[in-house]
Amino acid sequence: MNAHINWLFRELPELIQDGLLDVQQAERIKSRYLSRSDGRSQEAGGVLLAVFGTIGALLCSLGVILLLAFNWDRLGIAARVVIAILPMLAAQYLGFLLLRGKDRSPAWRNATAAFWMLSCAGALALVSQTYHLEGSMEGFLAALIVCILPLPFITRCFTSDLLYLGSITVWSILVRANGGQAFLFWLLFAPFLVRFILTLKADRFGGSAVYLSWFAAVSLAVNTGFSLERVLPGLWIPVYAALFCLLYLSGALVYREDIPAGRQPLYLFGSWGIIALGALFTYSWPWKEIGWQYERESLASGTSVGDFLLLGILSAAVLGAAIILIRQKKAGHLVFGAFLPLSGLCFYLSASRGAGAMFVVHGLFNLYLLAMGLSRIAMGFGSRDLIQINSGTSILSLLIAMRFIFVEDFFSNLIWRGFIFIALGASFFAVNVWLVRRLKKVEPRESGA
Amino acid sequence: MKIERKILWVFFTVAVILQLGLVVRMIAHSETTLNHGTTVKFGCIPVDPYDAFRGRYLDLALRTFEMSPEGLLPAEIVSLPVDERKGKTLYALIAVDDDGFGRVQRYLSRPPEDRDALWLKVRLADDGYMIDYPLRKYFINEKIADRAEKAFGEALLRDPADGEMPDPWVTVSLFRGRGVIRTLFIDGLPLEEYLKAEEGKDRQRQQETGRLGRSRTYRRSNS
Repeated sequence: MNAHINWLFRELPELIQDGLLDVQQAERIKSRYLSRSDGRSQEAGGVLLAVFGTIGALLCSLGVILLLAFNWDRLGIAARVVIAILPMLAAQYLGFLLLRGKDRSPAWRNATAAFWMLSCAGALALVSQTYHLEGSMEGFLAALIVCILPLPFITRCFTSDLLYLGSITVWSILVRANGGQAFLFWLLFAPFLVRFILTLKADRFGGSAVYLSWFAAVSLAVNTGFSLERVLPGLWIPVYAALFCLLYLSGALVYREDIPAGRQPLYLFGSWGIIALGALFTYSWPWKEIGWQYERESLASGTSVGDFLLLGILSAAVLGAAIILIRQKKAGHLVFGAFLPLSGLCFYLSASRGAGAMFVVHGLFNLYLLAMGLSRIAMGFGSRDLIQINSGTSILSLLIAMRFIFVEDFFSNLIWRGFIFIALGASFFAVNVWLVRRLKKVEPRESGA
Repeated sequence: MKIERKILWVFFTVAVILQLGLVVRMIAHSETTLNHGTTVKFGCIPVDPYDAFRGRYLDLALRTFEMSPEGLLPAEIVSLPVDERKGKTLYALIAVDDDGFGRVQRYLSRPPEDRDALWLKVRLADDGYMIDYPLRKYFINEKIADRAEKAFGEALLRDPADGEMPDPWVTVSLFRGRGVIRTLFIDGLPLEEYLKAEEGKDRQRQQETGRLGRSRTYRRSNS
């Protein structure tokens, strides 16, 4: 049982003794927290069963493969083919049983999914090996993805979602690494997105949804870069800005503010991405030699259509999320959402004016990070949220450290830098004095109430 | 609720069809090629004989496909700049000599219309000059991997004299542009048999050395 609940139970007799609670009230409190605790331990048990079931299925499949490998060269082609297909047929039968059963446990679902996906991979690999079929790793993964595409919808569990996401992520990386086009990743991601939304709908704060969100965010961050054709240098700037804004804003839409940050992966990952990119964009290297004057191939060739399509879809989704947030009166989040239009504007300025726009771009992103940090502190102050205040302070510290240590161009002038730092320091002191006075006014009013 | 269940059954059916379809297609293609195809020999050349075993397969480099295709390429491909040549699909027209060894006669940009022609679907590699062909991997069991690699490497380094057959070689079944490797031969024997024969020879040599050693010891002790 939870240590906090234990503490509460130990306190109850004393509370009854002091007359703060009567016996019935204490019993009601006890039964309420007991049932909650039982629910949690049942959930933990279910997770444990699912994890052990999945690991068991994986180990058994691998063990069978090893046993077969020992005698493999003594078997004829027909025997090898039968052995290659049999586990897949068995997995399909398990899937059949899963669908026939009314309510299978998560352990059963996860174990079936792991076994099914592995048996498909095994069948493809063994048949290819038996006939000495030439093929690359990405070709093998593409065939596997086609085979396992419907499985997340049939087994409806974390393991199948994760294995599918892992397969398409690795496939996309391999295709790109070998000079191919990985834009198909987005089409393959669509079925996962449907499953992901269904998982969030079922329980957005549950373990599956949280872990899946982390993996999805990482996969998107990696594959956005891999799927770009990079015909137009620098297009990655607005594309990544749109991606992180979308993650942040969808996080703001999906999660409640009273939930710990660790359980809000989209929100957290999006904000980290925006801060990291914002910090990068205060330097000149991302803005050098970008835009249509440096295109690697004619834009008319059509190779980069996918890149623009991706930018368009992501931007439209960001716009949609921003409108919903304004309607829900959560406009405070739009400070982070402004990262996309700002990046787009700076991309346009750098592309059209080259080095001439660098000063404006630097200035805008420095001011943006400053505004972001201050707005965080203000929001944190408003909601008495120390974590938000700390995150705002961290953004400001990062900005100050960057302008003080890793300096370039305009900021390398010590005199200018000195004046700017003194001015900023003075304004912080002023804000501090204002805050202290305001807090003093608020405290007597609160204590009076 | 019923609709949701029906959709799940549709997904299940699609999954089974996809999975079985893909695997059965692979098997059917290979079996058709093996059963109805024409068997042709291809000689191997040493690309990296000291590291021929990559994971679970021997890296075969077939002499005829490893040679520069310049002069054998179709005019429409030759006229293309290198960047546009990359990855282009070609059809290697194979001619077979009296010993059954195949060699590329020329590369075509369309499959040959002659139904009796032997051909293999290949592509121009990413450098735009060499040929990427689908007959490079000979999968072997890890138990015999070390011995197979050594035997294969040694055989590759033995230069065939003029008029002698190249060694090692593979037999490949060709059928409508597809090729499936049948067997790898070293010294005229299938790899597995060659390894067994070599093992037998080694054992015999060891026995002889042991006998010789024992008789020397006996003689020394008598004198």
